Amino acid sequence: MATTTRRALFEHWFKQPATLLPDGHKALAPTDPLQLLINRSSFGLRSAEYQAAQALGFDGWLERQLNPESIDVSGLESALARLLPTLSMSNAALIADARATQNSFRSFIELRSATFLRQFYSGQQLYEVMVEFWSNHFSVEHISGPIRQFKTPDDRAIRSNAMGSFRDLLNANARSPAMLFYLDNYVNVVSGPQENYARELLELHTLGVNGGYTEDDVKNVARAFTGWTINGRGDYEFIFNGLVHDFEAKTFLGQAMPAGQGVEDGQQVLDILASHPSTANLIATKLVRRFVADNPPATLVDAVAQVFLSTGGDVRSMLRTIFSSSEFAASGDQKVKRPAEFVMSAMRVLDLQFQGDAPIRRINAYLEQLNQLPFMWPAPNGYPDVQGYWINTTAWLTRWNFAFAVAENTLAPGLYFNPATLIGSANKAAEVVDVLADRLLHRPLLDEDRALLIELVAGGAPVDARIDARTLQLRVRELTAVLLASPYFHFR
Amino acid sequence: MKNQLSRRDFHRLACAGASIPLLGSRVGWSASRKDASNRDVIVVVFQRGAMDGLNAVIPYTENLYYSRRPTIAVPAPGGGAESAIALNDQFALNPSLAPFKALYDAGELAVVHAAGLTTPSRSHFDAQDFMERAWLSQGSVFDGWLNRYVSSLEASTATFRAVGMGTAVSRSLSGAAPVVGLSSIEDFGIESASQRSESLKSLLSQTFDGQSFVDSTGLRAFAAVDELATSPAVNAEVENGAVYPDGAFGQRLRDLAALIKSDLGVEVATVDIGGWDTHNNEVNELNPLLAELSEGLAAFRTDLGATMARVTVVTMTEFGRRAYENGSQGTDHGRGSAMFVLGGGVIGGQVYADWPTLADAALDNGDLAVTTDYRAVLAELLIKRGGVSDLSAIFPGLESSPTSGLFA
Repeated sequence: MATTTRRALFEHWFKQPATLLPDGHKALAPTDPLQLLINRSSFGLRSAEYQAAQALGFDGWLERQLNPESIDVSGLESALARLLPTLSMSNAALIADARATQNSFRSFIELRSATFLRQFYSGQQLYEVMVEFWSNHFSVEHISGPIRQFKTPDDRAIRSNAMGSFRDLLNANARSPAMLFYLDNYVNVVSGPQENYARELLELHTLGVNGGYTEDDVKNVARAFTGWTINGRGDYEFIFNGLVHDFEAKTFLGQAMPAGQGVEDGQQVLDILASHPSTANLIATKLVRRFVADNPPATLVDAVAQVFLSTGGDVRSMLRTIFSSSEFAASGDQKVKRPAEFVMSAMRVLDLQFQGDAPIRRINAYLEQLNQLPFMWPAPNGYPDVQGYWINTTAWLTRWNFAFAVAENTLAPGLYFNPATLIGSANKAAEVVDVLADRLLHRPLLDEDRALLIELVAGGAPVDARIDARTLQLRVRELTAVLLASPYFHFR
Repeated sequence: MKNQLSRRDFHRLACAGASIPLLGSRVGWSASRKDASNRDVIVVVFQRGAMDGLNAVIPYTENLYYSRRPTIAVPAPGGGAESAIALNDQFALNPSLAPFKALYDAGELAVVHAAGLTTPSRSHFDAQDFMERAWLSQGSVFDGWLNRYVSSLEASTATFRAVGMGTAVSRSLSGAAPVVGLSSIEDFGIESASQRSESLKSLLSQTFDGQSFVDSTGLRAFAAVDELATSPAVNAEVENGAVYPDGAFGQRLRDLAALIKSDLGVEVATVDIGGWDTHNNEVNELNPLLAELSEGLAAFRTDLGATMARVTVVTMTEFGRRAYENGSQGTDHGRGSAMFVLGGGVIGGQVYADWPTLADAALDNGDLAVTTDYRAVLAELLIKRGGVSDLSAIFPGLESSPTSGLFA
C-alpha cells in the first residue's frame, strides 16, 4: 500500500469523532483564552488556584505552570514520602519488600494512591498533566507481574523528565525494567530474537506506524536490542548481557551498525530515533491532540515538530508553542475530558476534603468502571485521546452517577465539601447560578441554560427572592449535580 | 455500589407487579420487530492482541507445525489431556477449547482457518482499525462495518438495536447509526438521593439538547435507561444451567443474552476479549484465554436455548502469529489466524480453509498466509443471515467473493 494512503488511514483513526459529528452542533458559550488554558492544562482548579490564575492572567499563569519548580509542593511530597514509603525504593528494595511482606501489591497500591493524590493536591498541575501524558506514551500495564514493583522507579524517571527532553525520556524508558519486562525485551536473545519491544519502539514511542521503516528494520532493531535485559540476580536494574547479544552487522533506516558493537547498537538506534523527523511528527501530533483537538491541525503539528527538531525535543518549548498558537485559541470545545480528568476535576473544583482511605477506594472504583485507572490500559499504545472512544451511553451514566454522588455527598465517607463556602455571600437564585457556574465550570452558561438553572434554584419561589440558608444548602447540592453532569463540565 | 441498594434491586422494586402493562408497551414497535424477525442477531467477538490461530486450531498432520514450534506446539490428538482434540483428519482443537467440540459435533460451530486481512499489517492498531472499518486500501471511510450494516437496514425505533458491550463501543460498531454502549445491566441507571431527582434528571437532559456526539449520546442514555428499567432484562436469570466464566467477558455475554431474550430489538452486538499478544511464555498466556473464550460462548449458547436459532456469533482477531516460535517460548506478529462461527444458521462441523500449509514457500514473510479474506466470511453472514443483497456500501471495494457453505 502506498505510504500516503497508509498515513491517511492512520490519521483517520483519530479523526473519527470530528467526522462523525452531525451538523447542528449546539454551540456552547465560548470560553475566554484564560479559561481555555486552565481547562486544558490542569485537572481542574481549586478556588485559590482559580483566583491566582485570574490575577496572573494568561501569560503569567502559563509561565508559572511551565516552571513547576517555582511552585512549592514540598509539603505534599513529604507527606507522601511518610505515608507511602515504597515511592522512593529501588527495584531491589521493592522486590525484597514484596517478598518480606508477601504482598506484591503494596507498591502497586501506593503508587496508584500517590498518582491520585498528586493530581488532586499538587499546584504543579501542568506538570502532573505531562506526567500522565508521558506515562501514557510509554504505557505499561501496572498490574502485570513485577511491573507492580518496576513501575515505581519507572514513574520516578518519567517525573524527572516530564518537562525536560524527549531524548532523556526515551533513553530512560529503553532501560526501564518496567518496559523491558512489559514488551519482553528482557528475553530478547540472539538465538531467537523477539520483536515486541522493537516494533512498539518504532511504531508507538518514536517514528509512528507510517514513519518510514520496514519489516526488515523491525527485525534489525530487535537484533540491536538483544541482550538489553534486567539483572535478575542482582539489583533488578537494566544490564547489557553481551552473552546473548547479536554482534553481527546490521542496518537500520539505511544506516550501518558495524559488526562487533555491543550495547552501542541499541544506543545508536535510540539516537537515530530521538532526532528523526518522523519522531518529531509523532510527538507533535500527540501533544497537539492532547491540548488542542482530537483532529490535530496540521499547521500547528508542523510548527511543534519544527520546535522538537530545533530544541532536541524540549517539552517546555513545544508546550509554549502550542498554548501560544492561534489554533489553540480557536479550539474551544474540541476536547472532551477523559474519565480521570472528569473525576479529578469534579473533586478539585469543589475543594473536596479527604479523610481516611475510603474516598480513594471510591475514586478507584469509579475510574475502574470508567476504564481509566492510572497505568492500566491493556495495550502498549496507551489510553486513547479522542472523544469517540470515551463517550457513549454507559460512560454518561457512570459520569452522571459520579456527579450526583459527589454533589449529594454519598460518594464515600470521609469525602465532603461545604456548599456554603462554594457560593460565598450569594443567596438569590441568579447570583447562586452565576457564582457556582464560574467556580465549577470555569466557563459561562448559555442564556437558555442559565434561565433553567435559575428556576431550579428558585424552586418555585420568585427568582429574586432571598433563599434561606438551609434551603440554599440543598439547592447548591442540586445545582452542583446538574452542572457537573451537564455537557459544560465534560469539555475541557 | 456494594454498600447500598443495587440498581438491580432498585429495578426489581420499581417493577414489582408491573409486568403486564409493561408488556403492553412493547406493542408500539412490533412492526419493526416483524421486519427484523427474519434476520439473525449478529454478535461479533473481537479478540484483541492477535490470537495464535495455529495453536488454537492445530494442523496436526503437518510435521512443520511441530518443527517450527519445538517448545510450544500442542501435542497431536491421542496423547492424553494435554493433547489436541481432533476435529477431522487434518485439524484439531487446543484442549483449552474443549467446550467448542460439542458445538462442532452438533453442527452449530464451524472454524475458518488461515483467515484475516488481505492487506499486510503487523501493527495491532493499524490491523484492528483496518479490520473494523473494513476499508483496507483507500481513505474516506471512517465508520465501522457493523454500523454500516445497521444503517443499511430499514429504520427502527428500537433503542437497543445496536449494542456495544463494554465501557467503550468498538470501532466496528461506531458510526452514524445510533448505538447503546452497555457495560453491565446492573450498573445501567441513574442514581440520585435528591427528593427532586426526577426534576434534576429532566433538567439535565435539557442541557443535552444539541445534536453533537456529546449531546446525542447523552440523550440516548436517558432513553436507554428508561427502556431497560421496564424490560424483563433487569430480572433475567441465566437459563438451562449455563455457567459463564468469571470476568468481564462472561459477564458481558450473560448480560447480552438477557437483552436478546428480552425482546428489546437487539440486532447487532459487539463483545471484546483482550490479552492475545503472546510474545512470551505463550502456553501459559494463551490457554486460559482460549478456555475463557470457549466457555463463555458455550454458556451463551446454552443460556439462549432455542433463541440461538436466530443468533449468529462470529469471532475475529487482527492477525495471527508467526509460524515459528521466538526465543522466549512465544510468537511474534504474523498474518493468518482462525475465526469461529457459531449459531443456529451456521453449517457447522467443518473447518473451512483453503489451507496454504506451513511450507517455506507457502509462508508470508515467515507467517501463515491469509487465504480467506475475513470480509468474505462476513459477506456470506450478512447475505444469508442478515438479508443483505447489496454489500457495496458495507464492504466497499471488496473483490473477494463471499464464502460459500458456512451459513444456511
